[in-house]
Amino acid sequence: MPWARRFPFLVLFLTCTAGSLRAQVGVVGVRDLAFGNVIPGIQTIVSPSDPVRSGMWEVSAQQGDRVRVRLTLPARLTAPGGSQMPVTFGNNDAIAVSDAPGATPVTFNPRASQNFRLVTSGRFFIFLGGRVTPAGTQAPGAYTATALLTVTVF
Amino acid sequence: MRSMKTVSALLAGFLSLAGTANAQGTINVTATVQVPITVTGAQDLNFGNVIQGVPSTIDATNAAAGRFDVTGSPSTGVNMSFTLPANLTNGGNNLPIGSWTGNWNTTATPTGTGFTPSGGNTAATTSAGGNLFVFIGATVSPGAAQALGAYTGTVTLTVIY
Repeated sequence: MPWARRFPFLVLFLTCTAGSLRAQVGVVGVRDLAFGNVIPGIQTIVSPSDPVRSGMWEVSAQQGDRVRVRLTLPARLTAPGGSQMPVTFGNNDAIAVSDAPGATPVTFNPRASQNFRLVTSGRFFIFLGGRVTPAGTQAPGAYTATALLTVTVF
Repeated sequence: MRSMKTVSALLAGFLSLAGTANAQGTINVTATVQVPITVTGAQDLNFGNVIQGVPSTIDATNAAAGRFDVTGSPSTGVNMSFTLPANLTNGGNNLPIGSWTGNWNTTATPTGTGFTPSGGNTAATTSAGGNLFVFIGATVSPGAAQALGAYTGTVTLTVIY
């Protein structure tokens, strides 16, 4: 790259600038949303406030950031044999809460994007609940799907 | 000049990156569909005739032990809990019953795993065919002046995954 040899400090400047201005954010899946054992024909609900079975992510950004939270949710769980089971998410099936002491949890609809400003801390958690509705003839077995959380700092 | 255009394009690219970032994380959503559990009282725990002042015991391994037949998912862990009477009754008369013993097996013979029946959970595992057999015994202790008659009580077994 001849231009780089001619402008070595410019390249260094651009690299440092991009590195220092770019916002930092991290998302880690902490806990699966686990419905456990379910019985054909009987709906099973997991609350987002369930301390054991609700899904959980940890998000690390910077205090003062504005973030957009978007969940990509499955419509059905699938068993190894190909059987499927509906899974649905209600308007109050997600909770966001800062790790700051005394923070108030915010309940929101996981099917819609949510914007938050991180006032007291850059670290927060997203919890997810939902419900599965096995059919009366649902085939026994282990069913799984994936839920994706995307956090954008803007 | 060409070099400057390249630098300008890179600069624009860097600036568009600056100030925004996103990250993603996944979790699994899981559920296990199980066969519904059925519990059937298959055989009463029957002490037969007992004598005033003489305790009578039927152990869980005895052929006369009470028996529950359970069906559910194959080769699956379950938890058993019991509601046990403290007395058998005959009208207003009580016949104390206690010292409960238990035995569970994947076949219909009381030669499996011993346990003490209680209101707490006892773990067991169904057979490859989804069967579980639970046997229960106890001791009745009639008083020396125990009123004569037929005494009965109810034992309830609850099984969950």
